[in-house]
Amino acid sequence: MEVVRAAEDLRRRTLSGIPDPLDRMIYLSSMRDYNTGLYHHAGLAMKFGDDVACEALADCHREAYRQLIASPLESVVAQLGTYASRSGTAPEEMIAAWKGLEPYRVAVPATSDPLATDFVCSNVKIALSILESRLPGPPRQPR
Amino acid sequence: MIGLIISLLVVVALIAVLVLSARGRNAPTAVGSGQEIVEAREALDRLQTGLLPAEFVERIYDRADLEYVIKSAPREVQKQFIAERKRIAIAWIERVREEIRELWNFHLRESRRHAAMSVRSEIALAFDFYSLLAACRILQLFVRIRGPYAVPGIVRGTMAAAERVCHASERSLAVLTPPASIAEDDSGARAAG
Repeated sequence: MEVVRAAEDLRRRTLSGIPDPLDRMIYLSSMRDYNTGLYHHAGLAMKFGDDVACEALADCHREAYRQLIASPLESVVAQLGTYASRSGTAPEEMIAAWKGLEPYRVAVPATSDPLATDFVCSNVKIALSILESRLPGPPRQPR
Repeated sequence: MIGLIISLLVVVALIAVLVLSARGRNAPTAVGSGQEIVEAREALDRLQTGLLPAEFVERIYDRADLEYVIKSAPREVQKQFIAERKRIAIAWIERVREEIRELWNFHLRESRRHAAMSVRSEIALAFDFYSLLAACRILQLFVRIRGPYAVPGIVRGTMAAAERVCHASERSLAVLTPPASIAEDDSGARAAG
């Protein structure tokens, strides 16, 4: 019950400012310690305790991931475009970095099904290609 | 004529399977093998929560994504998209087959010995399992040849058959698994991340 309250608090205070599932997933994965797999959030832990805060963050991370799986490709492209414009990095730089490093692969929850993760990563890869094709530059191959 | 031959082959195969599996029947024991029950429960969970939820399957096979890519992306991205979706669709079918086979093997090894099933139920369940495995093969063939958007009817049929098999396996597992160990499994599954 405490976890549900903590997750609600997190949604209301923090995640309401991050409407897109892709953005939320990346934000919540950044709350996770890669050595332990546990999530940390100072404000939430102060209010609810470390364990409850960790569970609430994990729940919200899984929720954002499920929402991203359920997003049509057109929405994934829009979410990625918004993320690129909010990141402050030039879109061509971000696209090149994401294509090379594939940071979205480590942004998924740890208990995700491998095929669902593969699907999410495949969608992000296609979305990157679509955004790249829209960048000004040499003429693209006609359809 | 071909339909008749295929039906006869299916009937012969089913009878052969039932005869062969009946030979392996042992005397009933009080509980199934713990490890096998755990593995079957995991296979069932992977199917029900990972592979079969409608929102996930609909996304893999949703034609709207294809239409969007055709409308808004250059040809090389369209090719990349179709290749990626085909790869994912084939991987999905292979995973479903794998998990269904795991459940069927569990049924043959364990649950049938304990759950008192009538011959009719046994045949119906065997038919569901084998028709599902056959549907997966047919679907895989179509996806390989014509892509993931060619046979939405077979996808829906495969999902429906997989759900029936899952419900049957759920009932077998419920008979074999004491309520306390189900609760323990559920609390153990709630891990961080």
